[in-house]
Amino acid sequence: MISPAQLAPLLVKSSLETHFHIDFEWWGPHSRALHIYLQSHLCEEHKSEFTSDDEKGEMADWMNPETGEVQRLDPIRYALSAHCSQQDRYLTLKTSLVDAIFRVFLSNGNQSLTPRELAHHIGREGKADVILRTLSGRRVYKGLRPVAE
Amino acid sequence: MVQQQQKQTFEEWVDAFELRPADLEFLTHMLLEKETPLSTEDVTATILHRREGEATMQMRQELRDASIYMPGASYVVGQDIVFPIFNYAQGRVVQTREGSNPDQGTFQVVRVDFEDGEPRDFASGVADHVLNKYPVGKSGVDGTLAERMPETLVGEYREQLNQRIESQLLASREIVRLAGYWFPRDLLFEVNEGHLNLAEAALDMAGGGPMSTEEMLPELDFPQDVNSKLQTFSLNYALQEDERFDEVGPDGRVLWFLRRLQPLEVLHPPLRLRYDPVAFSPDALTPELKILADEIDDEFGDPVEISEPDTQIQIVLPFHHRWSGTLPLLPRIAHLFPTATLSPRLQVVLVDGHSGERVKGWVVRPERFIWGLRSWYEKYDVPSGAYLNVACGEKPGEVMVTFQRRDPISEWVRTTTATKNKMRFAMKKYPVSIEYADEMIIAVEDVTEIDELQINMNEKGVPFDRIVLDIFRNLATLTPQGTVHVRTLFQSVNVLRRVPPAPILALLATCPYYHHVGDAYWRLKPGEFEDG
Repeated sequence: MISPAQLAPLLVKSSLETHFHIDFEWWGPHSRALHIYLQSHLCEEHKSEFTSDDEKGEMADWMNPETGEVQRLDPIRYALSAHCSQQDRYLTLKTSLVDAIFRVFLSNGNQSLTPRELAHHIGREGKADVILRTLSGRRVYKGLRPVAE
Repeated sequence: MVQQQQKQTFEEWVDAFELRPADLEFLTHMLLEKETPLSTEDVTATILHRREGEATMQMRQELRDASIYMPGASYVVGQDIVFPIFNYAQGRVVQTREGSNPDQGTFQVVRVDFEDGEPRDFASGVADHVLNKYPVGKSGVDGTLAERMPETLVGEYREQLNQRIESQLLASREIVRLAGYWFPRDLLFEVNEGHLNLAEAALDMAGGGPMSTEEMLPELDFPQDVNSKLQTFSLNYALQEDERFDEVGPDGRVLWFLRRLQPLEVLHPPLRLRYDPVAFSPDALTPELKILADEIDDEFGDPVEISEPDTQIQIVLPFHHRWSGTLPLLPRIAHLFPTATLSPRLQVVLVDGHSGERVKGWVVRPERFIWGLRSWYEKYDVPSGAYLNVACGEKPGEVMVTFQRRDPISEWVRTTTATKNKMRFAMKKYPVSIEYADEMIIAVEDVTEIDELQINMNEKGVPFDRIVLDIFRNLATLTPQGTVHVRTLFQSVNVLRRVPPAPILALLATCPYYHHVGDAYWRLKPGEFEDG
């Protein structure tokens, strides 16, 4: 059943000023699917480290380099935030739109961003409207949803 | 979930920057105190310093007993913390614990309760973090950096902010700008009619100019107790507001010229160079035709991206410029010419690259031409369609023009005459001693006939498409295939009517009686147009 918090963003019409983020609750019971999807964003070095589907491991405190905010992350998300996202090939123009947006949120500690800001981050200036249409349509891609105000 | 509220990027902060009445008041007082006009850069720095002080005071009031969050500091349970990066959100530390991160070393994590939200964790005891270096403020991270540290405004943002401040200062009308400097209108030294008459006389004696303001000042008998910079600024402003004077100085130098002594063709461009825009649909141009249009250099064509400006550029001399004694101010050669501070017209020295002779020319930016080459064209019998090289001169403000010589032999070239109110083209033997572009050369025996025909057609208001059709039909008779090169058509149409390449190509693309035979050639489809 959809929770009120999940429902709220759906009731408001999104705009270029709406903030989006990864709603990890959207993945709900499909944590294995999330784990596999996260694996696809790992750098070559870490891909070999996380070959199994084992989701267990010690949680670590990841500190946002811009805000100082701390998040408890599982090993794969920690590797993505602290290492893989810092690599040159993490985000390129060849990365698909949804993957690129997802990667931005993985790298910034899931701080919400507007379509304009996302367009800037993924190097597709002027494509904010495409991002808005993608993220605010009926279909939810990879848990990318508006933030409930 | 983490939401960053109202954080502005640097660009957004600059875009939204508005001058406040207090900024203007502060600036006016400062200019009054210094009695010296300020450049836009200095005005920007002054306003940002004022904002910096204001932001600091405001922050002190808002903080009261709370501490600003810095990852390097230590916090205890019960302590209030303010987070400027989250729009000054304030919270209270409710828990502390050791951080757990193999890469980070030892640090603490403090849990902070916010009044309207979930508790959030923040690092403390981290020596190396960007927030330890820069206190942040009300407008968000980057905005506050700008308010707090004007020196950090560099590159594109500085220029953008300067432009915003300039446009708002101009709109305020309280502060006037001249040659990039600003001063309050009410505080200008009064320059009266007598001073202006003396300035006119001084310029008259100098053959009209150019003359700098400093050279004029001793003639005007200003009071000695007025700051010399204010004298210069006030006189410049008064001269600018008087239509007898024109500022013609290149590259930041303010030089004055009497308008009535400027060449007539500089003040009133010849008919040949006047472009009365032709309505056409740019959508009619396919990418292929757009390339063809761009390949024909024209000062009214679309600007073409230049990767790196050259110091010597070859152009083809168009008919309308050859017979106006001018050069086109093409986008790709514009950087070779000095830019004016105030005036749309400025003086330039044109150097004959073959003899070294120097003549005074004029850059006329609104109509996009350089005047002053008539005698040079006549001296060397330069035909329209000739290749010319335009290059930077030895000194600033000088531009050198040369051509490529060749053996003076008679060749079959396109010639034009105007008889019985019609322009006729023919191929004739003509002596040419300068390299030229085959498709563009048009020799003329009596240009006054052409002038009369042009005036006549202009008065009659002969439609553009009719002119093109008549010329096309005539040009088509010059080749056995009946084809016409688009460059030839462009050059020939411009003999009678000034028009850039795009409207001509759009006409070729949309009229059913023109047939594109490939490359840059067209021919007429017989019987598909009405003669009359």
